[in-house]
Amino acid sequence: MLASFSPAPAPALHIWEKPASTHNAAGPGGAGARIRGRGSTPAGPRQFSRRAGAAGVCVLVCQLQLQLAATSPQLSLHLPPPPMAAMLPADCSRRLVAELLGALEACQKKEKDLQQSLARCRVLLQPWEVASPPSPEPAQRRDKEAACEPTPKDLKELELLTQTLEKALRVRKGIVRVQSEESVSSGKAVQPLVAAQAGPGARPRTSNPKACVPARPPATSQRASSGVKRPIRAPSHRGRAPKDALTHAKQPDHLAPLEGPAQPCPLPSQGQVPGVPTSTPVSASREVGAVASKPGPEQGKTPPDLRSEPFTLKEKGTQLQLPLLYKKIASRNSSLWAQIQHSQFDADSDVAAAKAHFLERMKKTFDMPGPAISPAEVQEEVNRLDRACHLLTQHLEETLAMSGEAAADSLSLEQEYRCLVTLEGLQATVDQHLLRLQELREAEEHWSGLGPAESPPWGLGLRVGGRGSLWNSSRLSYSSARELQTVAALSLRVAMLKQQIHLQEVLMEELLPLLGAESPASPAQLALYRAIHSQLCEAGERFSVLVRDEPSV
Amino acid sequence: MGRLGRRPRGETGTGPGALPKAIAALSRALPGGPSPETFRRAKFDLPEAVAELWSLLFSLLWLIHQEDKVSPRDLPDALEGQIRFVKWVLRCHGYGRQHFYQLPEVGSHGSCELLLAFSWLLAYLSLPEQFLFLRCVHQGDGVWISSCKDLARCPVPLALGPKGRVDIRYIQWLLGKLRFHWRNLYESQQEQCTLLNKIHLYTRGCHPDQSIGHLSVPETEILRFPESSKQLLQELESENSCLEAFLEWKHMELVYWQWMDTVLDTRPGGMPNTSKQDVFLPEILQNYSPKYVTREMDRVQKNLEALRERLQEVVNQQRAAWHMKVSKCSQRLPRPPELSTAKRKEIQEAVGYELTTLDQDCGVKRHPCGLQRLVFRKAREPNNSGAQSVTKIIQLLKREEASLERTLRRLQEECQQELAILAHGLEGVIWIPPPYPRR
Repeated sequence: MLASFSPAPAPALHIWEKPASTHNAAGPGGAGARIRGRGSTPAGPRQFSRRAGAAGVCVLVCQLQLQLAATSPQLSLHLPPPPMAAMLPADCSRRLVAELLGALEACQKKEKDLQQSLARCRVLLQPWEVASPPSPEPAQRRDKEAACEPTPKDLKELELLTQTLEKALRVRKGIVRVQSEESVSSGKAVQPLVAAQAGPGARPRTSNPKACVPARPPATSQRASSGVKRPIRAPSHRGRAPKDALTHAKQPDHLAPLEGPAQPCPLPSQGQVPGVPTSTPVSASREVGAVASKPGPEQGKTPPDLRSEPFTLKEKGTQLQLPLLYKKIASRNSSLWAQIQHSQFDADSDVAAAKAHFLERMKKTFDMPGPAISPAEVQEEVNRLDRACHLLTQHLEETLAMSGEAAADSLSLEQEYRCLVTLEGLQATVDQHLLRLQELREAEEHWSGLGPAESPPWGLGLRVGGRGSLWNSSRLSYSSARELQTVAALSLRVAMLKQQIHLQEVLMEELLPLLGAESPASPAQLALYRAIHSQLCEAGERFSVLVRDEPSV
Repeated sequence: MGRLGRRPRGETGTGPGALPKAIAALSRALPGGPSPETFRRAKFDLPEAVAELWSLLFSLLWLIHQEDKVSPRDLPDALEGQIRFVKWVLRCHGYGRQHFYQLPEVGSHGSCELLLAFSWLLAYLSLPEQFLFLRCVHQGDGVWISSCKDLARCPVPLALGPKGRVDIRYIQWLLGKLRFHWRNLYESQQEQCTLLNKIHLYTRGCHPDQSIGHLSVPETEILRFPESSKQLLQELESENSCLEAFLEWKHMELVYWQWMDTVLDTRPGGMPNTSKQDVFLPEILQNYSPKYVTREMDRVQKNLEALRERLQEVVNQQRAAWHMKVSKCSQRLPRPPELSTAKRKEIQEAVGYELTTLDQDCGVKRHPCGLQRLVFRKAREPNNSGAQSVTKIIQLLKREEASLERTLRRLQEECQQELAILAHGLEGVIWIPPPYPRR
């Protein structure tokens, strides 16, 4: 029996694959179907809808059945009834679903924040237009935009997603341009750092048919930027997207809601209603600055046509001048912060001593029972141990990698000895941490023994704040968009891996005990086995095939 | 020690007006700070100050713990709820004055007790410093780089889970959905980087501060939307006055603590009149959730134990390898190439130092880097602003990534072995693992 239960999880997404790797993703149908490989069809994998991908799997499954049936007659193959339930126990269900929903929520929140700041950036990069007498057309556009502007309240996640996808094509063209500039200026070809590679099924299924825009991954656009011509594949009804979407104010009508009008738009973060523009940026800057300013000599730089014609940041960005009032406030602000950063308040021994003296005196008056360490400190300590465990593991991995890379013979005695000492040191540290944890446990038990433990109405995770030094450096410099993308991708990758590892541990805890419990070869158990194997060993990206080998009668 | 035994620094003086001035500065540095008069009243335990102090304590603690909340909860509007919240938070921080917890929840008296609690929080939690961070206005770009580091440690509200049993396919579907979101996040982030860089690139030379050199998104918005950007200006202005107040407070702080000494003098601790009343305040303590901490402890313990086990194994291997190497060398060479004691000691010290730094790193919390401003600087431009370079962060992240990848792979291999054993037990079933081996 072919255990093809088509659980249809959202297909595998190999975000971090290198473009060259031909990664085989067997679909949930179980067949090793090479359908998601990058560039598997000239039409581009992205134009596959999820449905299409699933259909492909089905076909392949059938082919596989035929082949198997033809080659090995003793194997009787039959598909089980489609909904093959492999129910999880209630406790396990609750925990897994809660964990996953929590993880999803965290991702969605980040996504929403990102979308908002993206929207802000996009607006700034669109033409800056003077709206002296608002023509009817922009007004119309504004209406449309108002209907789909991502204000947190009336836009549901799905709509946001759709919008993102629709915008992707347009903005990526921008990426191509900037990157080609970058690569020209830095004089070297831009190599795709992390190719975002998605299977054809990766397109979300949304109610909006427009969502099937062939959004190209960054890798693709980067390739385009390094000189490889690549036709723009857009659905015919959209027409060819304008070559330079950023500098052209006129857009095809259906693009208008995406492009946004060149009017002041609501700033999503501030949740304001789009106001009718009343002034050009420059005149406005004068307005704001007027309080304290005579027009400075720099403003002479402003060309007169800024007042009358729309322009883009790219064309005239360098001529912009911040309003004087802002300059004043901002420079006061940075000098205040600098003062705070540079004053060594803690070094003021009088104050520190007075505070310590006060805390000490207060402590003497404490007459509540309880261990010396407070619950908040317990929690902080647990967090510290958690970080410690993470860092120790990292150190161990690095030590092993270092000694593992070199052949055993090539290591000098010193290196070998150093490795040994390091490992023993790590061992001792871990033992210490475990002891400390035991102490914390005792304190914690004491605390929770003091009162009935109910669910907290505020659900806080407490922390003791303000103990560390204030900050180290206040600026972070980068030298190219590529570098910025690298650091962003890496920090996301690290966050993702941590989440993945956490989920893997949870899944291992919950799922592994389920196997071997019931009668081993029941269809439900086999389905479970297959799902668990895929999830735990293959990160849900590949599936194994289980074939029932029934003895011929 | 005399009341004014030590002189506060410099120009602030010790005159009769110093204390009210210090308290006024503190009030301006904290949101909703009360007047110096309230503090004076509280010293004499007058009931007029009670309501104001409770609400001060509540608003401070509520703001501080705003981000820690697992799920957004409504602000308790009744005074009773607020008082209970304050008591509960103080208990969690280990504040141990029984008298404070016995204050009535109608807020009728106890202003001196409240003053003590407030001052304790001030010193213990460094409240003014914390509020500087909470209020920090973002003028630059760059908050987002660290903002996605905390995906993993999102506390899970168990209430989200379903009541009954679910199919494993639902779990798989959720996991697939999660991967989809990861991908989306990645794409948006990449796009954001490009757009940010464009804005930085196009506005080069616009910033009055030469070491920054270009505008940030909020700054460009000031030019683009002057109307709506007034808000940013207002925020900045109020932050400035806050910072000024903070600096003023910091210079006069000593007076306050000396005064608090006298307050304590008038209220000696260890009140005999409490006569061993009910201490537990169950209605407060029931709000405290040890479940979460216990779960965390279990998790950390499990991880640590797994690490210990692994280390045990690795250390044994390494020791064996070491001995083998030593004996092999001594066979080959006429004189055994023992490491000198001095050399050994040197290595031990170096490793000890390494591990101590590692331990210290665990204690350092990463600050919310809301203050880090992203600055674009072309490769060959000199870095004269003392900015931290992204390249360093990239190196750190790469190390972390590699180690996490190994950890994940190890876990997967562990599962693979376990499942392979189970697969042997499946009778009458042929198990074909995925056709292509993993990387």
